[in-house]
Amino acid sequence: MSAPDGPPGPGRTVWLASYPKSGNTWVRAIVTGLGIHPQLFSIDQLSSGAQPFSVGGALHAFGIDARWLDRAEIDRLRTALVTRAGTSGTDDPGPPLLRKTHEVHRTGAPGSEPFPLPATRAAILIVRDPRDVACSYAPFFGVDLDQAIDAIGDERGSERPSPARSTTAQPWGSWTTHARSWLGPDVPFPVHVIRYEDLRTDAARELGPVFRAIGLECTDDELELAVEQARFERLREREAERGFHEVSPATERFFRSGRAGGWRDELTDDQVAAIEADHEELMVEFGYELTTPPDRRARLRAARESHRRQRRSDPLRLPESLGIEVRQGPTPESLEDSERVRPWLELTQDRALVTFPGIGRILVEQGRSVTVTLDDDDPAGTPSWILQGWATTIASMQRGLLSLHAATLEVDHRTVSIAGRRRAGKSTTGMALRRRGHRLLVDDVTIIDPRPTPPVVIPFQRNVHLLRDAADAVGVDFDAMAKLAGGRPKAAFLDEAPPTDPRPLDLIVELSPSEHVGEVSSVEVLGAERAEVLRRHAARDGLAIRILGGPLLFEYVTKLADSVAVHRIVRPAGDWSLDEVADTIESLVRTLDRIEPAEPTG
Amino acid sequence: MTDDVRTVELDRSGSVWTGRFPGLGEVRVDADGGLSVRTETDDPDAEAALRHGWGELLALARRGVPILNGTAVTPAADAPAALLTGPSEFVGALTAALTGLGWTVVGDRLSPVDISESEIRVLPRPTPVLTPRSMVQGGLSEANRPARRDTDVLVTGATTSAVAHELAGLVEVTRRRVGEDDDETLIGHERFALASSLHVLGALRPFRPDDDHHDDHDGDGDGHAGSTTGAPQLLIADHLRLAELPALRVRVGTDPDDAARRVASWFTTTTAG
Repeated sequence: MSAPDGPPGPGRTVWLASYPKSGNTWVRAIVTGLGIHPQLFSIDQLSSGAQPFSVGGALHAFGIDARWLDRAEIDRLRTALVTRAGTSGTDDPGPPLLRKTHEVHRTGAPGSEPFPLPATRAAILIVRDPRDVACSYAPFFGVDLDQAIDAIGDERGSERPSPARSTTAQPWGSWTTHARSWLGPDVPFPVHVIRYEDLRTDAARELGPVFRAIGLECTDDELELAVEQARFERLREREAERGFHEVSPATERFFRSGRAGGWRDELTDDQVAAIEADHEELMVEFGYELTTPPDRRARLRAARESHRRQRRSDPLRLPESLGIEVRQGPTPESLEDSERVRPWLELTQDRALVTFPGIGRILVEQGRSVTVTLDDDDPAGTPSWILQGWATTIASMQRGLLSLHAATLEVDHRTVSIAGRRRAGKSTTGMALRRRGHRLLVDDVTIIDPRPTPPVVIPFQRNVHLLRDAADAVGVDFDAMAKLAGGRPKAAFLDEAPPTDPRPLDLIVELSPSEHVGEVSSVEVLGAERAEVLRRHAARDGLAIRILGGPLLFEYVTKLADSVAVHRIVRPAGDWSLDEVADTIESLVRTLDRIEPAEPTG
Repeated sequence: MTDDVRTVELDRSGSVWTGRFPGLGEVRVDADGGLSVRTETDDPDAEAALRHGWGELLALARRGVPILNGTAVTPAADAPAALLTGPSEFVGALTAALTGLGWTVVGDRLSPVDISESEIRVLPRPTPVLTPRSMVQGGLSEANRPARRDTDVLVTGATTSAVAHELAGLVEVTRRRVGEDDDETLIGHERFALASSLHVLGALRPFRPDDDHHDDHDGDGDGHAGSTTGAPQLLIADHLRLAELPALRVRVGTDPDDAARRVASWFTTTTAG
């Protein structure tokens, strides 16, 4: 790889940075071999095995028992220890001090810099093909290959600071975000990049110029000898003889084959595709040949990003911004003095009990509290929809808000709701617009506060439910997404969390499937029909009139009709084009003149 | 990093030792070992942190007392003690399990000792006993409260011994790895290696009047250098004394209680002999 620009930093430390299982220990074995007679070389002598996240050295350095510190103090202690070890105190910075790290580079607050410049000379970033990383990661951490692939694709991979373990945070990031962090413009010292595969081809040739640049003096012969004694076969032999303290508790050996390209024998096509979907851009930059077709990578990437977000979120929680507390616990079989609206739904003035056969029950109270009882504590598929759909709708109505059956997006700085009956294509159209770069604010449950003028939408993060054909249409891999609990034939796509500040609603589009063949057309809905359209999509299976009451629902609907433009888009039967519908919505937004708020009436 | 950022400092070059942790506070140890602390934060636990986590340790060193890296525990008030040494989370887990069996802590994690020719005695260090939050099941109680506002360390209600105990055994606590046995008795060079790793040196090396006051940087930040007694050959003598003690390597897996029972059994048998 090319040499970095910029002068070396003033300190001694050279950060030997790599994502885990990328050859860091091997390079340290070579460095160690430079200073030790071959016959005395032992893997337990590897230099700089202590990573900077450990502040246990504070006891020796300062006499501090770090268990008594809080998390912020632990971070400051790390900076103090790294600075103490990495500064020479003289004009001559001396030989480099190589220190291993698997963390992402970050700047940190003043006094808490994880990689302080005064102590730093440079960094060496070792990059290895993520497909081989996954094959090595899995046995080392005692996980299967799919879990390993998920782990190296998770940009939030991290350990929290722990005074109990005398450790600071250790954010690893994903394979991509790790390397990106060290190559970013905010890194104030040179970073020498080495590909693991190039090291395997000729380690001495790759390392020689880098070692010279960081001030690690050695002759070519010395380096060749060090590389020879750090051959994987030798390291494995030594580990077999005497063990190696860096081995994980999940495995019996640290050193595997060290082979480059071994993934071709170990990974399935689907696993390769998943890695290439997650890390495509950087893999190409580093010259790793991709084997999965581009279209498949794109579909997988969107689905895998969604799946990662879902793993980080609790399906039995609602976003804090909604102010609805959710707890799991017993719920009553039925409500006293309630109206049984449906066989599975009972209502009182401020309580609702909904039964989902085969899944469980929710009790929604006073718009602020939801109790969930699951029939199976670990249901197949995600049960999130019973909260994100029903509970949110009922709680909103109990608080005097409308719940419009619509997906809502921000299109060219306008807030647009796409309403329609079931199977009208709301979610699919929303996803199609999202694919064009518009921001999805919420799907299916658009909460509207009609009291302000103009009425406002309250966005929140929730899943988009997609049938297989809809997922195919919007370019998301159906099979790679979580499925809904209760045997529903839909997958759940979770987008990034939207901004949750309430925003004026500018346009409502009603999607109206037609039985006739023809072109996509649109027409503005006016007058009483506009109110009727809104009433229809705010009715929510009769819930609105029962919870809000007829007069209030009428007042809300008419006010909404007065304030927001409504257009009907008729999509023909048969081979209609999703792009045509999206084009039409974008066109409507471009010509939109917001209806001025009506003057308050007496 | 900006030039004006101050970092953690320790000065033990004069008769009065001073340490400062920016944002937390300062400690000052007088020539007679007297300790004073001053906090720089409104955290009500900051003073305890400075006192127990720093100042008292420096005061011991200032008075010339060697400190061993390990938690000293004893099964009874008049019984000898064992020293548990190793990663703090595993030592913490084993200590919690042993106190559950009725054992008492003599010194938590760091144990001051008096090494004479006849015996080694662990001196009482009556500081609160800490344990990782992960080791405590269920919610917090009055007996277990966070040591600081933002931490995963708890102050436990465990009682500590107020008297010195003879040190009669060493226990090296390690994480159990795949394929490893539970325990092994250490002999020969392994026992000496363990004994020679126990002294806390660097900033906590015991003060001697003939100290040269040189800091002990060796470049890697771990501060290895010096001697508990001022002379390397005497430190080796201390190591040999410690290496004479019976030693056990105990591997802690998912059940610290089981490891505690094994340690208790080994120690009872060993000291009975």
